[in-house]
Amino acid sequence: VSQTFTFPYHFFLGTDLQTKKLVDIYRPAVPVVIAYGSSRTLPFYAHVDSGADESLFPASLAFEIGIDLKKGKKGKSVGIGKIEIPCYTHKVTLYFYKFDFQVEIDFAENHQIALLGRKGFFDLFKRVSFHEKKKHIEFKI
Amino acid sequence: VYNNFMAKLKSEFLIPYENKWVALTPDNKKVIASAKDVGVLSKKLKNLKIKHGQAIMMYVSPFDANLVL
Repeated sequence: VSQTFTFPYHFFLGTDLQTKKLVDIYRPAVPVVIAYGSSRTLPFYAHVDSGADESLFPASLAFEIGIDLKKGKKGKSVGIGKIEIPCYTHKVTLYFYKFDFQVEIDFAENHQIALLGRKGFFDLFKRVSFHEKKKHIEFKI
Repeated sequence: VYNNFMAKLKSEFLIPYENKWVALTPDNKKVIASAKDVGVLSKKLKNLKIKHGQAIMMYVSPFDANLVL
């Protein structure tokens, strides 16, 4: 049975490029928890990033739940500007809304923003819709 | 004028925390603790005996740059 649910965009602080004043910026970030074995993180906001091939999280989150970072499959992520970030892939449990999923997440040192990408997040759902006017994101599972 | 403008911002309380991880109260209105790294923040929260449901963590991205992910 399909189920649809929404999350409001979360507020951040940014600068209006025209006025140079600080403004509220709303981004599609949702609360998640990750777990490895019996250890789990506290909830944190992760950006829902349709431009990311895979999910990429700060290595500190992996350390927090007892993952030996460099035992994971080594790879690299490339962002805008072609900056390469070494990363390590690990299987974790991702808790989101009422669900838990077994997913692979890349973890990188010197990376601060938690990104939920297409493989291991978007592909868990039948549809992910961004509603910019209403500032919410809708998931159909 | 500046203060009146700032008072309208929902995220005003995040101003001291640029480039840091913060733990927010569940209503997203106050900062419980902050750190440069989410691991350090988690340890601070453990020391404060903060449990699941009592905080949610977020990274306060730079204010002067658009996020291109």
